Amino acid sequence: MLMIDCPWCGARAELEFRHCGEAHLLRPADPATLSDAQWADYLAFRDNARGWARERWRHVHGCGRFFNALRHTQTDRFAATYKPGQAWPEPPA
Amino acid sequence: MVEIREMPPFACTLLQASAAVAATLGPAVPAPLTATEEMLWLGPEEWLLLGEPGVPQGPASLVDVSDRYRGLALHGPGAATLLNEGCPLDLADAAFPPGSCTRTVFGKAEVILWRPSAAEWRLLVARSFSPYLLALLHEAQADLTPG
Ligand SMILES: [Zn+2]
Repeated sequence: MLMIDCPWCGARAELEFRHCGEAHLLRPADPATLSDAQWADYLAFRDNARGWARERWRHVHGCGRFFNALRHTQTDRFAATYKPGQAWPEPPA
Repeated sequence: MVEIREMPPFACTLLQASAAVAATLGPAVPAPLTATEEMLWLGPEEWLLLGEPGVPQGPASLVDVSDRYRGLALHGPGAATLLNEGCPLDLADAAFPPGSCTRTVFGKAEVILWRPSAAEWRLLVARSFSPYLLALLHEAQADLTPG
């Protein structure tokens, strides 16, 4: 079973968690000034990295909290999990 | 043999507040991943209060969820083994000592699980899931019974 480290609860089984898409997306400060293409890019277009990706996860059947994870999308290896607001870890070499 | 018993209906309230405000309700606020007789830790700044709540001094959200849950009490040696038929948590004494509390899953149902003492375990489940949870527990018990 794949174990994921919740920053609050520690290592828990994958089935307690839900994947919530790409992390570190910032809502534009003034959407009215954006072109349609820029707005569409913010709303709908994602990196969908093949390799290391920074993702949002939620410990939905645990403490309920959102956190960020650095996960390899081909191997499903979690290199790190970290709370919102914490510094981004770098991918392993 | 593990005794599986349905708990009588009880009052409970979901509290969301800072730890400082939670402390003004009276009972000692349990540490993360633990429970006391009056309060279950569910997440950061989130607790379930058992019984009638006091009045918090400060900003807080209190929601009466007494009708949300059905409670089950498990008693006896082998309860951890029985729970592990449907729950992926490490329930060994070292990982889940008496006093521990967390939300987790049993089969397809989300449950709140806590351990008031070494031989006692409690489960809260959304009431519509309680027939499912009871059926799974009884099936697991049959599986674990020799002969
Ligand atoms: Zn958690």
